[in-house]
Amino acid sequence: MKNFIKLLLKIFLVSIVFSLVVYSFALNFKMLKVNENNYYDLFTSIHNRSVIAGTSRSRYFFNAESFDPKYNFKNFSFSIGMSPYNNSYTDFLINFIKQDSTKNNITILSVDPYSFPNDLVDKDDYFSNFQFKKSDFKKINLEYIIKEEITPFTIIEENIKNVLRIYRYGKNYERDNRRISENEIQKEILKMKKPNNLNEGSFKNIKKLITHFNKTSKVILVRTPVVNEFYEFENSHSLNFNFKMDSISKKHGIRYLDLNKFKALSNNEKFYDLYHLNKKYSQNNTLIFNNIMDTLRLNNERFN
Amino acid sequence: MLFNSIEFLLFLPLVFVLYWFVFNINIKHQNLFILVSSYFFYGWWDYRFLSLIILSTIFDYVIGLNISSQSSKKNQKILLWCSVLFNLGVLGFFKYYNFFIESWIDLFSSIGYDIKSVWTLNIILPVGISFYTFQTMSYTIDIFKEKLSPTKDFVSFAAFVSFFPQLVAGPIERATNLLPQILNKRKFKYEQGVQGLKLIFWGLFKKIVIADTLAPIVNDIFENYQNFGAATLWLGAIYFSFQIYCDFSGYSDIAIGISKLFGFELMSNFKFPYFSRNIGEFWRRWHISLSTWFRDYLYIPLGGSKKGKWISLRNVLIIFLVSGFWHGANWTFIVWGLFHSILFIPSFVFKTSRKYVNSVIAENSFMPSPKEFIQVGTTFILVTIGWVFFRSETIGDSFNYIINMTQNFQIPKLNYAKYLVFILVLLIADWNFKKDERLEKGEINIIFFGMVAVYLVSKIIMSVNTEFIYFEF
Repeated sequence: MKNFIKLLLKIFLVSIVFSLVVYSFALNFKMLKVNENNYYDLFTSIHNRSVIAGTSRSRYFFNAESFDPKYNFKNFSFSIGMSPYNNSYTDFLINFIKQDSTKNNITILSVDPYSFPNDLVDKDDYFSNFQFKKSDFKKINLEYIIKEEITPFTIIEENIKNVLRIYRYGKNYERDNRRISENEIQKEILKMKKPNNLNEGSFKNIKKLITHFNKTSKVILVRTPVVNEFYEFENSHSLNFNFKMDSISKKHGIRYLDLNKFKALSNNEKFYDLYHLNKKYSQNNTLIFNNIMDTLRLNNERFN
Repeated sequence: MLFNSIEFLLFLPLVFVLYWFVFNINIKHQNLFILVSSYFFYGWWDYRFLSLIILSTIFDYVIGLNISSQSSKKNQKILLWCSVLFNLGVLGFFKYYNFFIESWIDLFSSIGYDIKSVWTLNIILPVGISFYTFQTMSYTIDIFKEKLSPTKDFVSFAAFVSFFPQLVAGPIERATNLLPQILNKRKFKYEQGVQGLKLIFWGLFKKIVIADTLAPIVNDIFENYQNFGAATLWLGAIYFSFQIYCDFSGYSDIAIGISKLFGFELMSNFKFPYFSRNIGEFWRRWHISLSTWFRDYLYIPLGGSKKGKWISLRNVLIIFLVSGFWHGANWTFIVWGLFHSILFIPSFVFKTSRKYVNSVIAENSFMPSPKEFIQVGTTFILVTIGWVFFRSETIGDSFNYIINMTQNFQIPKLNYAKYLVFILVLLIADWNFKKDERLEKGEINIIFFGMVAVYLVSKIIMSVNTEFIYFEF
């Protein structure tokens, strides 16, 4: 037994040393952001700026840096897996964004037939659980590693994938340059679930957000573009979505824009998959959207 | 509690330490500790499941004692039937009740009578029920056959029924093998411990790395089979063959490995089934504890092969159909059993089914001969077609899938084909061990095992813990 315990301890020791070596390499050679604090900065600091909120669709569609700097935009869109417009996301937006009403703020709330899901596991405590301090970039952020489950093999796997990508596509390869092919579109649509009825709780929250941000900014409700065929699929399964959004916007005195109707924005070639824009066109589309805002004088009350 | 979960990573070392360092005062303490740990392990899923296993344990314990105390063979037989009916009744109710009701409703609907489905119940299937009911049944049957004396030690018997490493997915242990080990003092052996550790690592690797990686691809292909060409469908079927093998044999390896850490030797459950040269050999290498159970407790009592050709054929057919049905309450499993009986019967008739009982492929050479290669390839293809029935949701789906496997050959996408690398790794490893499924004895390479430990723990932490496929059965 003594020898067996010794053996187990040796294996344990090797595991620890191996893990430490991998983390140290990752930190020193920036193999993976083991001290990444992008989201923590986003979701734990108080902000005073224009807001983009919604799901990954709006995260991919809007490139905050490409907007006119006067807007001072920050994109707070978050994965649909964390139930956008649930209570904790709504509370976070209300509590962590203190807009100065004298500044020229805009709030873009992105909605689509899938953004009020009924069937997702409730992750209502996700945002309220964030208690991260701003991390020191020179140290490993242990809390981040544990909560985001970054194991030594995540680091190794990610780096092997990167090497393979570079080998396959060259040094300047960016995953977001990818374009969905016409063949893939039909196959992907077949795999999609039909959109559910709108979740009443999330629906109330979006109204709450409109009321809240209307006091300090100009609120725009947008439906970001998707691949044309998928847009038809969405509409055929949620016939009155646009109507509902129109009535909400009228009730609150704001604009609702279905950006799928703007041909310049909804070209199939711009999409990574059915509903995510690739990075190249994200910058491009943000500039076009910027012009749309100017043309429609969406911002006239505060900027002109 | 799943073997591939963080909870189990904490549970196992704790139980190991307490078992060998605190409860090793005497065998009674150790067995009681095994029992409590096993109930904790099982109750982790749902504490309500415990009531059923406790009831089954008490019933068979009492029946076992009574069978041996009866002098009349007739009374013994009555008691045995009580045990068999009780166990099959429990299994039938929890696993097959809704299936039978729905099948009756479908039957009546097909002849024009529309019956409302008011008889179906919302029954939760207790995890591993098919395994432990078969294990307890073997106990009373062996007492009846006088192969075993009943134990008076209730705690030890309950520990035998609920022994946590093999409780939920086998191997289905015979009382004649495991019970004496539970009743006798165990001693820790270094060699046994090292072998156990290797098996646990290998089993986890098969489950977490291979089976769980193949699972989403298999799901995608089987759920959308109408959209794929023949080559991709073949790939899907082959991936499922390896997914189910790695999933189930991985569990068995972990179970055998953990048992070794506690000083127990469980029976083998898999002996490289995909290196089989005919269907008969496949069934001697696949889920051995179940196929030998059916052989000993169903096939032989029905007369085996000693009552003439037609009775033997009938018995073979029964064994395969029951084996299929054991896997689940769905016609797809029954058709899977029937399919295997069709494959097996010709070799049974021509007496080639037992041709490779004592040999392994390429026994004295590094590579198989061309003849062996063709035999193994053919057997694998047939078994893989059989898995399509097993994996499909309905019989209609399985036939459509198989028809589509013959049409529209297109080269599969690299995204689907790249996972063949995993299969290659597995085959190379299995080929190396093919003479001894318990892995070779000898020392452990600490650096290699340390890195593998980090990898496996990383995978367990990162991935959503997936249940083993055979838990459903």
